[in-house]
Amino acid sequence: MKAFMAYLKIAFKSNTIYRVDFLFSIIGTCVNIFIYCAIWKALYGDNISVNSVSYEMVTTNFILSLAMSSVFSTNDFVIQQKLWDGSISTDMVRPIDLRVSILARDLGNIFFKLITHFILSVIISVIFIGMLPPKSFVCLLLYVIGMILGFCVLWALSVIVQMSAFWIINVWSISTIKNVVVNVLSGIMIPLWFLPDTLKNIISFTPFESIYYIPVNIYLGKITGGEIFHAYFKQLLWFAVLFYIGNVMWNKGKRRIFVQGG
Amino acid sequence: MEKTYNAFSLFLCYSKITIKSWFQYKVDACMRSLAVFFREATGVIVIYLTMLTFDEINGWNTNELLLLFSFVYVTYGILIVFFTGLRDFEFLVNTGQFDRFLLRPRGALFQVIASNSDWFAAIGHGALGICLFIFSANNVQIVWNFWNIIYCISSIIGGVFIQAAIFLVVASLSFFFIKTGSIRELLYWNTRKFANYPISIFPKFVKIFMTYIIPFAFVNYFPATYLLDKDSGEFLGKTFCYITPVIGIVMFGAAYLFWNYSLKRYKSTGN
Repeated sequence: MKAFMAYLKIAFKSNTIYRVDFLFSIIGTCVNIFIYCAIWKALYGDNISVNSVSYEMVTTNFILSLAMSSVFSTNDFVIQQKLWDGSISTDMVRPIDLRVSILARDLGNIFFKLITHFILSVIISVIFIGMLPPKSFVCLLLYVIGMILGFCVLWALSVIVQMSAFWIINVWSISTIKNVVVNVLSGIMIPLWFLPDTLKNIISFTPFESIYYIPVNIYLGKITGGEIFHAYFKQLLWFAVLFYIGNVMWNKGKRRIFVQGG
Repeated sequence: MEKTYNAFSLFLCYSKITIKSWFQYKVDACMRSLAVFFREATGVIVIYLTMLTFDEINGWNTNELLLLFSFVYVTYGILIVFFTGLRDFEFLVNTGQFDRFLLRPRGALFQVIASNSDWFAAIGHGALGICLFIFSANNVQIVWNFWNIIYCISSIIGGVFIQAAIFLVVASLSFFFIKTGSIRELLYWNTRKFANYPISIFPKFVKIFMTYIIPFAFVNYFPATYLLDKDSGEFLGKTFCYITPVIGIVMFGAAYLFWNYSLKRYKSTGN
């Protein structure tokens, strides 16, 4: 635990070094939110609601999911980098599991971005665009739980991508394709309410809607009562399945390590 | 004359080496190009899915939007063959590798440009752009004649130079700020995101920004409105549709002066 916290703190602190960079990346998130809201405003025109979804719900969806995605940063290239420079050999003999140290680093980044990127970009968006408040205070708390579970699913996906570094020389293309699929199917780029029903049904059988779509819907009160626990269960289930796959890959992969440099 | 020939043969030599190094791992190279293609197609997929519910966005239908997109991709595909060195310039400064460039008996900018080209992006963006252009131009039924073709080619070249100028300015800023990833993100990639949609849907300050400050509107919006014979909104009528190549050359010239100015203030980070 002590080692875990040490990794976490280092990642947190290293974020504070480049301040200009940090400022610009918050602006970047706000620009994204602004663009999507402007497009949808033009699409809505004079309509108050389309498919029984109001324009305010669309903006709230974009603000929350884009702000979340700016926080949920996972580095898909940790293991690949360690294989390339050979430092994986020292990591294997350390008394802390490599995956635990990766998680600690990711969490350090997340805590930093949560108190900076997330809160700032939401505040700026509320001032300039406006968004719906949570349905109730309880909804807000339930949303936070959904958000944590959503991150777990995304993290488990990232671990799978990282582990594939044991078999292929460069995970960049897999990582990129994963990000495309996540961005389209989890509701960052288009609110899933507007997709055709067949596509929506297919997505409900994938882990992607667990990441951003479920938390946002909890926040808006579109998922209520028992459905919330059903949604949580779905998120947990996907986390368990993906984590298991990542685990199998780790156990198989670490037997075939060969170090190319160092 | 001999000097030009010399520079040209050196450029070819560099290109051969970069192609060899980028395609060192063949399967990986194919996968990377495919991944770039998919990543860039995301915007297109999203537009397509959105337009299933809505018929048009401010008077632009799906095919017209795709034509707008295609200009961005085609120009980027060409841009990245020549100017990857500027895009990734930050790393040369960060790692101190740029010092080596300064010691060689050639212009620093020539070496930076010649020594790198991102072939995966070129193939991914270029293929997507050409597919989109052919598909959408076919669907909106543009009447092709000699002047239209000349117009398209000159606008694309102008568009490449506009973007190259932005890269060059950001690269020059690396001399002052060591990390410029986010500035580039803001000045180039975010502006480009705006450019994916007709700028007439945005508030006035965005239109001004896209026309006069970072003139990305000249890369795709004005050429597309000309080809589609659309009203370009509250702008200076048709004249803006014809000056893309001029803007490109002027901007690149100005950016080159800024580069020269900044280069004199370069302090190495060491290694």
